[in-house]
Amino acid sequence: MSALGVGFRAIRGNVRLLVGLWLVGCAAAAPLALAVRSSIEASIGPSLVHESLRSGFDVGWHGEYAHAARGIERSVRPSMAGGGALLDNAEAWLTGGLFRQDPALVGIGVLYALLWAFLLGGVLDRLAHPGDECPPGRFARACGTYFPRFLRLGAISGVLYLLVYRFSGWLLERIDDWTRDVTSERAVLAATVAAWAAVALLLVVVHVWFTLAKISIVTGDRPGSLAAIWRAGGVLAGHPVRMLGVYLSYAALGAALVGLYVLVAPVAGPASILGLVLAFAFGQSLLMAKLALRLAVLAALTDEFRGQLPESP
Amino acid sequence: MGFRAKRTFAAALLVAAGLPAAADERPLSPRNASYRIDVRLDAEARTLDGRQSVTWRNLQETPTRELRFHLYWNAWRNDRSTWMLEDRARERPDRKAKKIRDEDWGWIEVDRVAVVPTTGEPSVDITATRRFVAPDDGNPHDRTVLVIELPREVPPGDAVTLEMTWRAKIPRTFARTGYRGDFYFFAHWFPKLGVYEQDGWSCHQYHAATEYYSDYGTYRVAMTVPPSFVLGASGRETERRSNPDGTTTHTHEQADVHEFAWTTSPRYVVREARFEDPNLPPVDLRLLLQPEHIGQAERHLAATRAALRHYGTWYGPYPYGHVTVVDPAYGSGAGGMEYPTLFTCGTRLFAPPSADQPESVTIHEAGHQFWYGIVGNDEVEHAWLDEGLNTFSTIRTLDAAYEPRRFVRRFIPGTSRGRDGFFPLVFRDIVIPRHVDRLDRYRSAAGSDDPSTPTFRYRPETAADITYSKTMLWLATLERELGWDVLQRILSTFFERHAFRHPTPAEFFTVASEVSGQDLSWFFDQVHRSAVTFDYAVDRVASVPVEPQGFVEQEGRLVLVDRPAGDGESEEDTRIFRTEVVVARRGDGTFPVDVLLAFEDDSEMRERWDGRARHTTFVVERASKLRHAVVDPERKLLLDLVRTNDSRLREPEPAVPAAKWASKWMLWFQDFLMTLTFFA
Repeated sequence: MSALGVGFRAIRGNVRLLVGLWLVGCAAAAPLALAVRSSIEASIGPSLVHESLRSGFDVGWHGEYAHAARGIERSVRPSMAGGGALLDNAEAWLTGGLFRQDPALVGIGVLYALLWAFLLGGVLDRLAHPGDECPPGRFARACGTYFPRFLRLGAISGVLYLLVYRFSGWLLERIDDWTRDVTSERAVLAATVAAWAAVALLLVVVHVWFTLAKISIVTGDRPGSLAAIWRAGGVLAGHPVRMLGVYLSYAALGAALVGLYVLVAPVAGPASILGLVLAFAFGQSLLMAKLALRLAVLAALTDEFRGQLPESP
Repeated sequence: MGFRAKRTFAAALLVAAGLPAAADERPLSPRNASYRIDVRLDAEARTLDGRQSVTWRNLQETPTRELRFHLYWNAWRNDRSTWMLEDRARERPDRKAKKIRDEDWGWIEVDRVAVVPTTGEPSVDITATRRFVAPDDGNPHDRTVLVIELPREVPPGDAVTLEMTWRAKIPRTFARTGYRGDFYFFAHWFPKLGVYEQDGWSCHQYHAATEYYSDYGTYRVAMTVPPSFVLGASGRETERRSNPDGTTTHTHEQADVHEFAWTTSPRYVVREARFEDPNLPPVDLRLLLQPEHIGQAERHLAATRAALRHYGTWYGPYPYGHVTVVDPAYGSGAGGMEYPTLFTCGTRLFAPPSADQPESVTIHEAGHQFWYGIVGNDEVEHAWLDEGLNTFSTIRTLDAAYEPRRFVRRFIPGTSRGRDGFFPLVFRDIVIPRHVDRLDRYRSAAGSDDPSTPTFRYRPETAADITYSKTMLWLATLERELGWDVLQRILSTFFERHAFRHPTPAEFFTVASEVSGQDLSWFFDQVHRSAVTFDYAVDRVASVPVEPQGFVEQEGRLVLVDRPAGDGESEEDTRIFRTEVVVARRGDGTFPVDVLLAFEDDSEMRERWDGRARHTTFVVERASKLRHAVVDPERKLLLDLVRTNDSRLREPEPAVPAAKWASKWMLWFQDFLMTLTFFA
């Protein structure tokens, strides 16, 4: 509970940072969203399909659109409506499908991830020193200072993530083999869910490990990348339940948030311009909430990491 | 194998063509290919041992000296059979190929063949005359067609009876037949006669994208299975006997069918029910369900009843009085297939009602009892005749009996081979008209084959899209053009005339033109005998004020009239507008279409265009401007590949819907980006 308290205090104290990060996300997505809008608009053209697409979703139109779709247009699909958008990405995160999207989207995603890695230096510096003044100059300096080391960490963790996904492919093949004479879906489901849970846990372990390494660098505990990885590994290995527990608590909150959104978010509606604006705002507020949880978990892990360090002499 | 003595068996062969169950009934079919089979399942060795007699009567006007048998299971003897080669050609590139282990292959070997004389003399062994042929592609490795030379010709009208013994290795499921764990499904499992036609034997090799073709007959099949195994089979059970070795022999009999399938597993849960309708004969329903699907029993039964009711009412009654519905084991690959008086469905642990599963597959396979079972067309050469008619009827039944279907996305993929996910999310706001799926599939395959090409010659990867989807779409087009009452009469007449026969496409087209009272060959030439595509479009719309300008005659003098000064509203109210609508035919196919012109004063005008020219222009002068024009406003021509260009607003309004769906995409993409930062 104390970890949650730390996290929520961090959100309260960093609203501007939160808004800034959200705006960065919006800015990254907006140009492609405009391109998609143009593409849809061109496809609808002067036809009456605009009526059915305005009031709901027209799967007949989508069949035509998908048939002619190229590049990022292929990512326009009915499952991106409402909460499906978030579940789509959650599943893609688990299965490695994020990297099997259209190359243009993945390319922009990688650039965005690099930008995130750059900003993370400033974010962690801010979270590590909550009482300090944080003028823009300090934030920018922190970003620039830590970015090269974060890049190195990213390269190493990337290899580990790749190994996890390779392992997941291998594991599913084995489940295929082990269950080839099983006639009950329930049994195969149990095995499959257990396998995916293991994959998710491995992804989280790598993530927490390297997040702790970044925290170690930013807090000045271990300025070198390799030393930070070593230190973070030691802390994680020494307190796995605590460290992973902090992360998973926030992940559970995030999952609850997504679940709520799936239940209440408009799927194919609304039809009015006001409704459209409200639905967009609702979606953006969800993304803001997810972002807030990311900040909170970083703050909580920073706090936990510090708590595990030996007292300075 | 618990066979009786050879002499007893041989004597029994003589009555094979007139089985007890059928003897007191008026034959519905020619019953010219009848089987009496004893088969034993060895679940440990995964083998079948069979002994059968087959009595065949020559219905043609030419004699024959040979009999041709399908040995379907030899398609999975190795990877060089025609079936395996074709199956590989249609594999989806985004899915991993099925892993085949040594023990997964299957085969069937005929060990002995003898002719049984009608005079009570000893049978004549003709085993040595066996040879394999590959009439379709000459593939020397294909052993799915066996030829037996007879000691004498079988003249027209005469019959011959063969006694055969055979062994088979059960495959891990290919083409819906085989095993998974202790679940077994046996289809096309015994040496089975082809069809002797006017120009010889129609006994094609087994092809990956096509199904089956056989003559009608009577079947008496005794199946011996391990203790505690539940058994379901074509026909009715007429005897159940416990054997000294602990096994059980179930005997089923059925007349007037052209195939016999069976399944066994110790896990089946059995539910029995009855279909009753004041206007149709009752049908006993026997449902073999997986234990984890007990909660879906009523859904299976309701879907079966819906099929029996609607098909029975529309086309003709189901005559057999019983049907077995099989819910196959998970991952068995045996689901979604039809056999006479028995069919397999397929469902999932989590099956939301609005997703049409198991309803769609259940209705479809139950519907095959009519289109395939009763009307027994050649599925190898003209698969569309049953699959297309049945797909059309399935969708019609679903639309009549069920709520609209919703879009469902399944999450968390099941296996590495890309099976759909376990957990469904229903998008309640997104309704999927059931024909839309078919149009999407047809769109990708539209030009791949003329449907008149023998089905086994279709491109394997698009064969199903032409067979099922295109036929469904042109039948629905006919329904919308001629009216359901006419199409229903066409189908019911075709059903009535060709029940228990092997109709050809030409016979269907003849019935269609005859019943509709019009020559429909122009339509069938396009949808069946060619691969033309249809696409009508409103190319241009305009409404301009009609105001004379230049020199006009007034009171016998030429007067110069100037362009009017302004466009004020009051002026516009009294003006006349000249509206021009250009409708184009962008596809090669032609079809008569209506064109609707809707005006801003809410008035409408409808024109008919024969659709033959490349384009036509409609010109009208009215006191109101055009709002929009639509070609084929009732969407009769379901084969039209591009619906978006069927309508045109004079003042387009795509901005709001485009912004709406782009905003949803943006949310998805923002979340995508945010999710990717997990790895940063």
